[in-house]
Amino acid sequence: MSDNEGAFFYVSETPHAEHVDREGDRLAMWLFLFTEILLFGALFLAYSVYRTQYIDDFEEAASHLNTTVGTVNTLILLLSSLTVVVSIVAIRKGNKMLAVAMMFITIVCGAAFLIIKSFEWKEKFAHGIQLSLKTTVDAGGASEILGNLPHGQQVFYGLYFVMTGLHALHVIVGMIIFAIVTVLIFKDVINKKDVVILENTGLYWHIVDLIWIFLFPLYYLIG
Amino acid sequence: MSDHHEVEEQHHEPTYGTPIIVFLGLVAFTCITVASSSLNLTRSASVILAMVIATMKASLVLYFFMHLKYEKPYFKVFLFIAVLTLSVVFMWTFLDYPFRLYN
Repeated sequence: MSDNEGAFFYVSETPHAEHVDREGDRLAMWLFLFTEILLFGALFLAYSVYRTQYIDDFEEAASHLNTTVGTVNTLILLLSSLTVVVSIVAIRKGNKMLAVAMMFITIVCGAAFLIIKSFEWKEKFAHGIQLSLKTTVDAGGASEILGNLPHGQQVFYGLYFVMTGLHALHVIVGMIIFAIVTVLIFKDVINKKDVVILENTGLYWHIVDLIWIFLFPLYYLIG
Repeated sequence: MSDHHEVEEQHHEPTYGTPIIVFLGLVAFTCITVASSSLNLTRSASVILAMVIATMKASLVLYFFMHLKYEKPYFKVFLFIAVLTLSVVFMWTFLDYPFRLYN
């Protein structure tokens, strides 16, 4: 058995025997995405259980989140998903510069999303709603210190920070990978005949968008 | 089978039109879901409507943006199993949780 394996690897070093399985590459990415679905799925489960328990508190807390900001961020992520798809089409049509431009817009969209998100968080922090229950805030915001809110609202904001935080972390990772992908497009590693790296990065980016599609109504709309 | 798929994949001519139409559909769904949130629906109705729209948006992303349309059927089967697993976890939780004594 081991002899056969050795022979296989020896043969595979010759150029003609190089085995390329792009379908397998994409399948591997999908399998990873399933773990992402289950990771966020657990948090969505926690959200739905606590929502049934603290329905009034959840609706009250959700009404304090800025719907306009959430909508703008939704549109930004949708746009960035489009630019990734357009980038793939551009590469396959041999239009390298358009693909690079689309990558650039995608990264800018990711940055815009994070900047808006950070302002949103900062506004919550200013009102004493922070990651910890033991916060010290100026007298002005004292009544809204998270520890003073009803328990259900504390749970809501806890889940809000964890879920949007984990999501934002995924956006940051996606932006870093897109920066690398842009370099690979420049170097023609990603080219007309082989776009799988870009395709797989795109798949990851779309799942991040997809998670936001569910986060948005649950936190910003229902309330 | 595999060769056939490779040929098929090359024959699927990539276009800019489809993604742009899908994007406009996603924007439209976003507008609908935002507008519907100010309709003063009942609690469960607003949750159900928001989740139905979100699921439709997710389907568009999966089918077109994530190219599920052009993948072999077993990709769809795999996704179905992943979603089914998550649904079973949700179902089980809600079969148990509402009947706990401390509620």
